Order: sequence, then C-alpha cells, then structure tokens
Amino acid sequence: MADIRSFFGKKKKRSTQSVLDLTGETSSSEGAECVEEEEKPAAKKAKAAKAGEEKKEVSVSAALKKKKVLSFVFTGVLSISRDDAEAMAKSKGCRVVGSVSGRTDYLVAGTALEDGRPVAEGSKHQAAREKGVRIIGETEFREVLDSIVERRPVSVVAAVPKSSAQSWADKYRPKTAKDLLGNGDVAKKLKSWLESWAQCHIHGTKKLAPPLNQRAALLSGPPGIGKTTMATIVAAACGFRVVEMNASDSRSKKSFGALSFDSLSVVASKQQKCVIMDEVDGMSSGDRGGSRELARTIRTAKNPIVCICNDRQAPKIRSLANSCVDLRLKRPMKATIAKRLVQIAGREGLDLEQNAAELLAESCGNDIRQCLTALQMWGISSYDEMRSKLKKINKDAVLRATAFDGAKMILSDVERKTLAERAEAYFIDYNLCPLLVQENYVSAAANAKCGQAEKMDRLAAAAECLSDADAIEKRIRSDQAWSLLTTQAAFVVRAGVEINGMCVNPNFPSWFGKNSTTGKNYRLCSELATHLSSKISAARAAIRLDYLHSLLEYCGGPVLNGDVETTISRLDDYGLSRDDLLESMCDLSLSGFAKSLKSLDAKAKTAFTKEYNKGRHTSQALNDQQVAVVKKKKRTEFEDDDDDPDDDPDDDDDVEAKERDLARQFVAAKKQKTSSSSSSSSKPAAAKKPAVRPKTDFFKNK
Amino acid sequence: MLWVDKYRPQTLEKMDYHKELSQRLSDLAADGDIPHLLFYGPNGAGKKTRILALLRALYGSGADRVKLDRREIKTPSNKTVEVTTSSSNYHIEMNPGDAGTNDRFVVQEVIKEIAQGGSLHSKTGRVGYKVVVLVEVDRLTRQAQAALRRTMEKCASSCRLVLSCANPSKVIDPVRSRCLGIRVAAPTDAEICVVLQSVAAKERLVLPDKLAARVAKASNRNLRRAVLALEAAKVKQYPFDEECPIEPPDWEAYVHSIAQDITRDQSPQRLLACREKLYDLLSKCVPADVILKTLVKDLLKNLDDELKPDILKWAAIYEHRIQCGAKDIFHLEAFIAKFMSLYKHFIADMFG
Repeated sequence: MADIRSFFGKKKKRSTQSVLDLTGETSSSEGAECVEEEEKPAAKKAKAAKAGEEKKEVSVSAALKKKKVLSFVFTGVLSISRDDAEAMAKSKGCRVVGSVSGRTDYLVAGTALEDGRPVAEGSKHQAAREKGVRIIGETEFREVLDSIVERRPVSVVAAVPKSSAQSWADKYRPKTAKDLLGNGDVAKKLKSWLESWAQCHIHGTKKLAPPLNQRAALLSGPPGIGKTTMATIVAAACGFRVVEMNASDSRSKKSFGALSFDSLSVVASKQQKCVIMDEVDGMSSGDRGGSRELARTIRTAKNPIVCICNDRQAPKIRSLANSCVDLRLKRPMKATIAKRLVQIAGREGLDLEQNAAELLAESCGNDIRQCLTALQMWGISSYDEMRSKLKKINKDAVLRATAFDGAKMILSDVERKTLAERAEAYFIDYNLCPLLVQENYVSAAANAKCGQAEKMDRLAAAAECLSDADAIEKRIRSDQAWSLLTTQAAFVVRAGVEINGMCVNPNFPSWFGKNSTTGKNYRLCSELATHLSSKISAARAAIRLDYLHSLLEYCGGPVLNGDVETTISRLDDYGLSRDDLLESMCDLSLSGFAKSLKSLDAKAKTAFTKEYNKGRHTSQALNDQQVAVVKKKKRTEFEDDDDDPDDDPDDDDDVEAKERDLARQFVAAKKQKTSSSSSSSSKPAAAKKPAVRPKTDFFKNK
Repeated sequence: MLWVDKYRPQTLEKMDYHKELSQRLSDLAADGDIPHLLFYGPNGAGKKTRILALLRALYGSGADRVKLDRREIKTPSNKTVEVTTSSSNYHIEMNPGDAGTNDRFVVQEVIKEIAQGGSLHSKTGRVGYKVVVLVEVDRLTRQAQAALRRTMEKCASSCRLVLSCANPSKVIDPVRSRCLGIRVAAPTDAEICVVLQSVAAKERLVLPDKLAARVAKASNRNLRRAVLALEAAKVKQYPFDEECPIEPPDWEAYVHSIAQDITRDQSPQRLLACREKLYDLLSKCVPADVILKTLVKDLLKNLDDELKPDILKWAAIYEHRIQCGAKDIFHLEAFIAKFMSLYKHFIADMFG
C-alpha cells in the first residue's frame, strides 16, 4: 500500500503534516497497528469460505476438492467472445490463466483457432496434452461452471458510515518499509543512498560509485503507486526528519533561498533533515526560477533532497535528473494490489472476491489510491457486480486502450462495435491509426468468412477508403485543416466496415521502417548525384531510373571478373568512390548484379580496397567530402592531442595519413592560416599539393 | 566514360534533333540578352545538354570551368541546410529540391548572393549578367517557388534564371509567366535511331537497323536510356544481330514481375506479397508515379479490351491520389487491389 490519500483529504493532511514536521514532531501514529492485524481476520474468512465451498461441491472432480480455485485456459474461437467466457469463469471465483501449466485444471478448446487452423494444432492444445491437463469443449465448460455452487449471497456492507471520518487511502497508508507494495529494489537503493549520504557528502569518509554519489534523488512514476509514501517512510527509517514541500507550497527562487539557509543552520543539530520535493514537474509559472534554483541548491546541499515527479521525460525534469540519483518506480502487479485490497476490505467488513479486486486494480490502471477510493465509495465485493459497475462508470477505458486495440476494434466485426465507438477508437491515436489499419486490413480480409472474389471486392473498397484518408491527411498536415480530422476518421472507419473481417493481433505498421529506409536511400542518391554532377547531365531521379543499372555494371563488372584496375579507372572517370560503388549503388539497385557485387567475397573486396586506397583520387566532390570529414575529426583530435601520422610505418596507414595531411593542408589554405599542429608533416604535403588542388586536374577530362 | 557521356554534343550546332529549337537558342545567345528560361520536357530529351550548350554559346569555354561548392545555409529556426552547387565564373547550378522542406531558404540565399555580386561587364564586356541554373524545379515546394517569383523580378538586372523540370504543371503560374518556356520534346523513335547509328559509327560498330529500332522502342523515347541500352547490349553480345536481347532496367523488370503476379493470382496473400515488392521499389527511390505508369502499361499488354477502359480510369484516379496524398504505398496498393477485384470478376464471368 502506498500514497493513497484520497484527494479530499489531501490538502488538509499535507499542510498539517508539514507544520508538524517543521516543529520537530513526528506525525501521530493513529491506526499504525491495523496493517499487522488485518491479515488474520481476512485469512480466517477466506478459510471459512473455502470450507463452505468444499462441503457443497462434491460433483465436480477430485481436483476441485484438493484445490480451492479452479484455473482455466482458453484456446480457439468460442461461440461467445473470449471476454465473456473469461467473465463467466471469474464470476464463479475461478482463475483464468494465459498459458497452460501443470497447475491448470482445464483447457477450454473452441471449434477452431483464430487463424482457421484446427484447434489441435495450437501450442496450448499440445502443451495441455503433454502435461495431462483435461481438455474440454464449450458445453462441458458450462457444465463445470454450473456445477460450482454459488458462493453465499454477496453482502454489501455499508462501508461508508463505518469509516466516514477518514478515507481508506489515508487510513491504511503504509507505516513501515515492509508494508510498501512493490518496488522493493528501489526502496532498498533509496535507503542505502540515504544512509551513506552524510558520510559521503559531509564527512567525506566514504566514496560512492557515480550514480549514487549525487546529492539528490529523483523518484519518478505514475500517480497513486506510493512515491511520496516511500520517500517519507524510508527517510524516517534512516533517522531523518522529513521536510516536505509540494505544489501547495510556494516554491519560488526566494523560498528556496530561505530553505537552504535554514538547512545549513540545522546541520549542527542531532537529527538531520531530509527535504522531500514533491511534484517537481508541477512547478509552474508561479514558481519562477524555481527549478533552476532547485538544481543550484542541490549542488551545494547539506541535506539529502528527494525529488518526486510523475513525468520523467518532461523537459523541466531532464536538466534536474542529471544531478540526481535516478530511481524509477513501476506500477505494482495487479495481483499484489488485489491481495492488499482484499485485506483492507476484510478489515472494513467487506468480503471482497480476489477476482473482483483484480478487475478493480486493472481498471484503475494499478493505481492503488484510486482503487481504494473506488472501493470505499461503492462497497462492492462480487465480481459480477464489479464488472457491470465498471462498465457503466469506467470512463477512461478508452484512455488505457492502445492504438492497437483501436485498430482491432475498427477492423474486426466480431466485436460488433458501433460506428461511433469505432470512430472513438480512431481517435485513440489519430497519427498511428490509419497506418495500423492500412497495415492490417489485408490480413483482416483474409480472415473474413466469404469467398475469394468477395474478399477482393472488400479489399478494393477498403483500400480506396484508405487512399482517400491519406489524401485528407496530407491536407490536414500541410494546410493545418484539423477540422478534417473527423472526415479522415470516417474514411478509416469505413475501411474497417468494408472489410468486415477479423483482426486478432494487429501488426506494427511497417511503413515507418520502410519510410526511413526510403529517406536514407534518397540521401545516398543525392550524394551520388553530387559526385556525378560534373560528369553527367542527369539529375537525381534520372540517375536512379536511367543511369544506375548501366553505371553499376560498367564500373562494377570488371571487379567481379578480378580486373580491379579498370574498375578504379572507370570510377575515377566518373568521380565516384569505392563506397559509392559497393554501398550506395548496390543499395539502390534491385538487380541480381547488385546482389552479386554486394556479396563479393572478402578477399576480392580487400584487394580492391587496398588497390583503391593506394591510388590518389582527385575528383573534387570526393576531396571536398574528405575535407569535411577531416574538419570534424580535427576538432576532436586537437583535444586528444595524439595524432602523429609519421610514426606509423604501415604502408596503408601511411597513405591514409598522407591523405589526411593533404586534406588538412587544404583546410589550412582555405582558412588562410597555417595550422601549428601540422607544421611538422607539412613538407611532403606541400610537395604534392597541386595534385589535390581542385582546379588543376579537374577539367582536363572535359 | 559511357557512350552517353562520351558523345554528348557540346554545342548548339551539333544537336542531332530539334534543329529549330537549337537555332532559336543560338539566336538568343548571339543577341546576348536572354530572358528567364524554363526548359521542360521528359527525362532523356536533352534539356540539360541544351542548357549547357547555351551557356557555352553565351560565355565561351569559361562556362566549362566549374567547381563544386558545399554551402551551409542557416534557416531562421537555426537549422543548417547543406546544398552542393557547381559554379563557374559565369553561372551557378544547383538542385534546390535536395534541401527538402527548407528549399525556400536555399533559393532566397543563393540567388540574393549572386544578384548582389554585381554585374560582369568588366570581365566579359558582352554579357552583363550571371546565370542561375535550377534543375528539378518541379520538386520545389510551393513556398520556395513563391520566393522565387519576386526574386526573379528584383534580380533581373544582374542575373537570369534558367529553370529545368520534367513537369511544368508543378511550377506555379506566376513563375511560368515570368519565363520563356522552352519545350524540349522527347525524340521520336526515328530520331533516336539516327543518334544510335551515329554513335555506332563513332565506335566503329555495325548496327542493324532493326536492332536500332528495337532499342529505340524499348527506351520509351528516352535518348539517354537508348544509348545506355545499346552499350549494355554491346557488352552482352557483339557482333550484333537483329535478335539481340535488350535488358530492361532493374526496376522495370521488378515492376514487370508485379504485373505478372497480379494477373496470375488474386488473393489477399498475393496483395500482401505485392505490398512488399512495392515497398522494395519505393525504398529504392523509384518514384510512385513511375511505378504506376509502368505497371499499367505492362498490364494493358495482355488485357482484354473490355477491361482496359476501367483499368485506365482507376490508374488515372490513383495517380491523382498519389499527387494529393503523402504515403505512396496506400495508393499503389489500392490500385492493385482494385485491379485484382476487377480482374477476378472478369475471369469468373468468362469461365463460368
């Protein structure tokens, strides 16, 4: 359990707390014993329930008698939807598992797999046969469920009057480190950091490895999972007095100054303070200069500072994060939360089913605080009731649905969504949705239950809609005509309706990958065009369409037959480099020749490279490029100060080094000043200088 | 050097076809004052060859002494755009389309710089302006073209623009109206044959007339392709005979395989396979409209007359969509799906 104050209790509690802390009193320990105690009654009740079940259920099977909860695995297509089937099992208190294990009781097999293969081919079916799990059909499944006698009628306890004074989220807030739910490793790390803080930063007796030697820590994670609670508890456990500052306090530059002054003065006193900066990503315009001041304070802090935020990626946080130990909290598992929910509900006299608790946790996005608030308000304990209630109330389900779920909703007729719902699904992520639908509509049509000709008709109709949608999207993006978004939605949804098929697991759009490859190849093509620009008349597009294949065979043909010299001289004629031939041109071409050149065996390739590097290639386009590369290199080399090209006796490297020198000379000449670092090696370079000067050699071929 | 580069005519007088056009251009050059020019015509018709010849006629051999420059241009949003220009003392040539969406700044910066560079009177005495050659202007964004139109008027005293593009309908009207349009039409098959024979004569080859005609036909009235194909054919087999194989370019063969695929089998699986092939083509920089055009031509070869009008109609629709939209694959795939659907029904009707 964690930071689970409900929002109405929050403000008041916080302000009193910080006052108390400042005056040096620890907050009162009301209800501290409850957590330890709450396990017993809950466990008792659970036992009683089990006993009751076991007495009545004689007919089902031997397995049931030994175990309290039946577990099911589903495979294949049932006559009802998978969700409904799972709900049926869960409402009887059974578990539904994703994969078959030795502890599974039944595998419920449908008529066929989703992709049309017989159900016996599925991996789950095979696993079940190996592990001896009983495989049953849908009718048997219903019989098994029917034979489980209803649990005793649900007792809806009027929970609110019992604890009207305090929200459960506050009442059952963890009081000790071991009550914290999940993220044990983070708590441990935070603790070790806090414990060694004084030694490290004040006494200087201990040195820590880089991430832990910062003066501040940054806890980040989604709301309602216990960040503040963890910080408070761990700091208290390490003997710190906790000073909390949150968004309700003013956190301007000025107030920070006061704080750091205050902190300095307390160093001498026995109990050291630990400052918890809550909600640092919420520092807004009112806190002008606050975050910068915070970063500054951290650098000189005499107290440990724990910053807490939700959004780790926010730009404000990024600068702060550099001077903090980065601790990220994850949402606890829903089973963990459910267990705690059942315990708390038990203490409040509510007999909560495990399945219901898990459903609640899931629907709240594993937010413990929200779970407790909802539970306290509704006082529901049974799975069925929870399910129907959540359906009505659960407004933000669409927020948690991913774009993939959206594509599924749009493309599958099995889900029987209304047009409005499908349009809503499109708006989950309107950037991704058209791409997802386009990626998956063909396979969805393949799964449709109709003839081949009908499938092609549907595909053609859907593809036309998607084509329309893309034209609209271009309009939206280039003219900022966002009012057309609903029109695009309509076309995308219509594509799904036309398909009327089934999409089980939408694939991620391959468009992104292909698009980036296209972009890369266009860059290569432009580079090629630059190198060729002085020799041929074609622009980029014509080079690709007309020249490429001829040029590739013209230049690459000889080297395939072992004639390296001809290839090199032809490359030089066109001002191309080795990489242009072996990388750019091969990557751009679709021919078999390009493939054979690309897979040129290593020996021939090295021979070619060696031969190529021996010669001097005086095309201006290439030289300019080398200069650009050397320019960049030079900056780093000056810092390293370890470039002495004359030291290297190796032949190849020597050529390379000379070339680098020449290039550097070139830069120097351009800049109209001599570089001091290359003066030692400038003589040989100067001698050959005319060879690389662009204007000398360049026009002779024309 | 490939023959196509080796035997490119250098002067206006030596052009093999469009004699009238060459005459008009040399008249312009002789006059010494040219207006802004817009060369347009399909690939391989000889636009660039004529532009370079015109520059030679204007400035003499000085126009041949070009050097490459890499320029870095800062956009207002502090992004650096790199363009490569090749320039002589008299002209500068660049492909502003390479700068992508930032082409506007490239156009503004470079032309302004040249316009401010002052006139050339002192150097040449005859022609008092520089020439800015912009190729592939149809790739320029609308904003860049708009930036061009005002600059063209302002800098007219010190420089002239020579624009070149394949598709003049993508050049905005105001720019077109400021230019003298010069259409360089694709050579006819007969004209191509003449050029091929003259190349063969220079290489001392014997080229059968029928083979020349076949090469010309396969080239789609693209002279560059024709000469390249002739050289490729020579590498494969010489002496020539009339039945020499003429290999299509790699991408054309690939499009051809798609056409075969979709006439053989129409199913969702086949459509997915075609999507992969289309992606292959697109990612290897083959423009979508070229793919569509080639594909339709291939399909029409073996199609019943009854289907042809429909297929052409849809091809036209999707070609338009390619221009309207941003993601080419959507439209190409839609065309193939439509073709499959129509073809499937046609086959079903025919065979029961």
